[in-house]
Amino acid sequence: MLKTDVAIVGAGPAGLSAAIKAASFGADVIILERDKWLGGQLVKQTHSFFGSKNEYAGIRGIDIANIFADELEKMENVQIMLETPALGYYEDNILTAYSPQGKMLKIKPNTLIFATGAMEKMIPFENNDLPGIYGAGAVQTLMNVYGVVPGENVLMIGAGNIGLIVSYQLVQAGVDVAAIVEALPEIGGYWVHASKVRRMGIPILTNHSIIKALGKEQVQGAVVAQIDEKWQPVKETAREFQVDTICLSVGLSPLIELLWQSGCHIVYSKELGGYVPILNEDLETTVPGIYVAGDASGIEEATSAIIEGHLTGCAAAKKVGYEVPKEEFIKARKGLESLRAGPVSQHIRKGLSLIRR
Amino acid sequence: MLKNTGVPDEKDLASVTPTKKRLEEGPVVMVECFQEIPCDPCH
Repeated sequence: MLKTDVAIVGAGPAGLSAAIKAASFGADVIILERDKWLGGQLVKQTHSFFGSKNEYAGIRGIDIANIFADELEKMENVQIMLETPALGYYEDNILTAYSPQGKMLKIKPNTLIFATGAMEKMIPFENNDLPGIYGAGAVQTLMNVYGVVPGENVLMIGAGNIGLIVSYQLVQAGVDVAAIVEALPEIGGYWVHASKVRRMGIPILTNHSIIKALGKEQVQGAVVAQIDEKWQPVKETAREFQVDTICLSVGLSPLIELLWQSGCHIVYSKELGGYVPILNEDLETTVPGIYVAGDASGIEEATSAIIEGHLTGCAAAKKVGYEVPKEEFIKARKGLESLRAGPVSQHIRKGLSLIRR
Repeated sequence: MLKNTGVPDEKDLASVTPTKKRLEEGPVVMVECFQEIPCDPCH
């Protein structure tokens, strides 16, 4: 049985920043990560980050992951366990995990931070199980981590930031993007990204949706049509795109299976992407000593995940008895408030107002 | 139009175009960011 002050599940931006903060105040930290590397989704983000300059905006995601990894390497009170997925959380406060050697590990932490991130959503349409249909995040991993392009011609579904950025990166990798299709009447991602991909010649079709994928063994095309105000396809507008890949960028859902096991209070929030835990101002769940940071607490950006990591790292260290100046909490809360202040974060503010306690 | 197609119109461009006086002074960076977004490195 391993014992620690703070156990952190997930080594993405939230988990790593939480680990650095908690350890900086003296807490012993164990990080569990299912992948072979630190950084979570940062490792595939080859673009310079938007967000707050204090939280690495202007630096590429992959480089931010390396900055965190270098910092953690110097900390003797942090134990990093890669290729070690957390499996379950039990009533007696035991977290189980599976080691790369095939051993079941038991960890008894004094506090626990879930920074488990999110998973990509899927949408229903005819033939949506054909090979050649990917999540946009999966395509980003395939290209930017493994150096493999998904195909030659892509149809992107969804004009949020991920859809726009991955479209740009597909073109950078020499792949043709036939169009970006968006069911909503307006582009959801930042317009600065939208105008950039449009300028590269990629049409953005708002009020349009994919009706079906074409092909038998693999994707050979897609049918797209305009949709009316009741979200029904307008038949006469249906047209075919000859593509070998369909990329879905239709939102993310918080990954909270372990939180369900912890028994904390969870509610559904449309604005935050799905089921999310009720949290207090320290991002502590209704189970004392269990915290949540990053997309697992509601879908946002990496910058907010980093600051939420700071906040939970401080709170967990304080909970186990280490001295944490209150200015640290104030700084993190102010940072989050300022990030969420603008008009594009209205849905985040609305979602959070319903789940804070 | 920008919010529907990604194509800025004259009004959108006017909102980010440096002043005539500044343009006459010579080359200038034009920050093509049309929205207030949670991002501060350019400020």
